Amino acid sequence: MKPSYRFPQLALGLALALGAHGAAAEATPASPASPPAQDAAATCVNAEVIVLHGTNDGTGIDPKIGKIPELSKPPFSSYNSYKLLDRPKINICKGKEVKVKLPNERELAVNLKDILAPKKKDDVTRYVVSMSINKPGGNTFLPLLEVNAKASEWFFVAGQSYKGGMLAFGIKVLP
Amino acid sequence: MTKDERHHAPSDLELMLYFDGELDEPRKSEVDAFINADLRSQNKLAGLRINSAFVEAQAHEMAAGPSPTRSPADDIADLVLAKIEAEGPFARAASADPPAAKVIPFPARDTSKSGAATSAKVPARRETSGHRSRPANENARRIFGVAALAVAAAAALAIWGKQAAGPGAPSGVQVAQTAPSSAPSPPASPAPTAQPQVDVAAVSEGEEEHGVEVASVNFGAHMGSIFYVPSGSIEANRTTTVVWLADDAGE
Repeated sequence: MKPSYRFPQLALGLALALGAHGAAAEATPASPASPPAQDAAATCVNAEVIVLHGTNDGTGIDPKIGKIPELSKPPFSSYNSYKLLDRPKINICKGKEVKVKLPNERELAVNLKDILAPKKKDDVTRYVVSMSINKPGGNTFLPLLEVNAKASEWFFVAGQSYKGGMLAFGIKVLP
Repeated sequence: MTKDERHHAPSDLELMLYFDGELDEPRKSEVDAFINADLRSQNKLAGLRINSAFVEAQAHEMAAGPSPTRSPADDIADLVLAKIEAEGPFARAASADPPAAKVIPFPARDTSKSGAATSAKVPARRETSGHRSRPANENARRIFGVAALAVAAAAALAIWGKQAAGPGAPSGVQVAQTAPSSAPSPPASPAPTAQPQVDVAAVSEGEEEHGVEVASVNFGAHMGSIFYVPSGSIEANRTTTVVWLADDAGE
C-alpha cells in the first residue's frame, strides 16, 4: 500500500466513526420514551399545601410542621417561631383552577399548567404550576407566579403580613 | 613660575602673537628664550616672515594697479553670477518664448474665486495646482469608517449583554443564588409601583438547576424577592425556592 493512500483512508474511517457516534447519541434520548408518555397522559397531580404563621414570640418551630430546615435559614430566620396553621392536600388539574382560602382572608388560586417531560437522560418530569393570590373583593395581590416544580420538592411563598407576623405557605407536588 | 614653565613650548598662536609683536611680558621673554634654543620654532617664524612678505608685496601691487581700492577677490561674486547667467537654464528659458502660465507676483492675491481675503500663500497654491488640493490625511474616510464600526460594535455588545443579563428585572426583584446570612427582617416596605411580569427563567438561565424553578412572576403593585435557600448538605447542592412578597400591613 502506498503511503499516499493511507491518510484519505484514515480520514474516511474517522468521519464514519464520528457519524456513527453522532447517530447513536441522537438515538439515545429515545430510550426513556415510556416515562414521558405516562406523564404526558396525566392531566392531574396531587399536591400538598402547608400554611405557616411566622412570628418572633420565641416559641420556636412547631413540631407539627415536620422537618423543614429552611425555616431556620434566611429569609425565614427573620422570624424565630413558626406555627402550622393548615395543611390541606389538593388535586390540581390542567385547565382547572383550585382555590385555597388563606387565613388572611385572601385566596390562593393554583393551576396545573403543563407537565414537562424530561429533556435529558438523567432529567426528571417537571410540573408547571401557576398560582395567584387574590384579595377579598377580587383585587389581586399577587397576579402571577409560575414555577417548574419537581415532585416532592417544596417551594414557598412568604412575606404576607398576618397578625403581627408573617404568613407563608408552601406547595409540594406529590408523585 | 618654575623653570619648566618658563621654557615650555609656545603654541602656534603665541608664535604668531610674538611675530606680530603682540605678546605681552613676561611671556614674550620666555618665548624669545625658547625660540633661540629651538630650531623648529625658528623655522615656523621664518615661514611667517615669508608669508608676511608675500602679502605685503601683493598689497603694494594692488595699490599700484589701475584699481587701487579693489582687490581681485572683490570681483568673484560678480564673475560667478555672470557665468550662471550666460550658461544656466534661466538663460535658455529667458531666451525662449514666455510660457502661457499665469504668474501672480508675490504677495498679490486672487480674489476672483473666493472673494475673501486670504493669505498670500493660499491663492498661489490654488492657482498653481489648478484644482482643489488633496487632504493631507488620505485615510480620513477609512479611519472614520473603522471608528464608526467600532462604536456600533460596542453599542451592539452593550445592548446584547444587557439583554443576556435578563429582560430587566424590575427594581425590588432580587434573584439570589443563596439566601443571605443575615435575615432581611422583614423585607423593606415597597413603593407601590406597577411591576411588569418577569420571565425569571431567562434571568436565571445558565445558573444551576433548582428543584423548583421560577419560570415567571408578576408582583403587580408590590415588590418581591426570590431566594434559593440551600437545603440539605453542601455536597447535595440542593436549594429550596422561596418567593418573598412585600406586604404593607396586610393591605
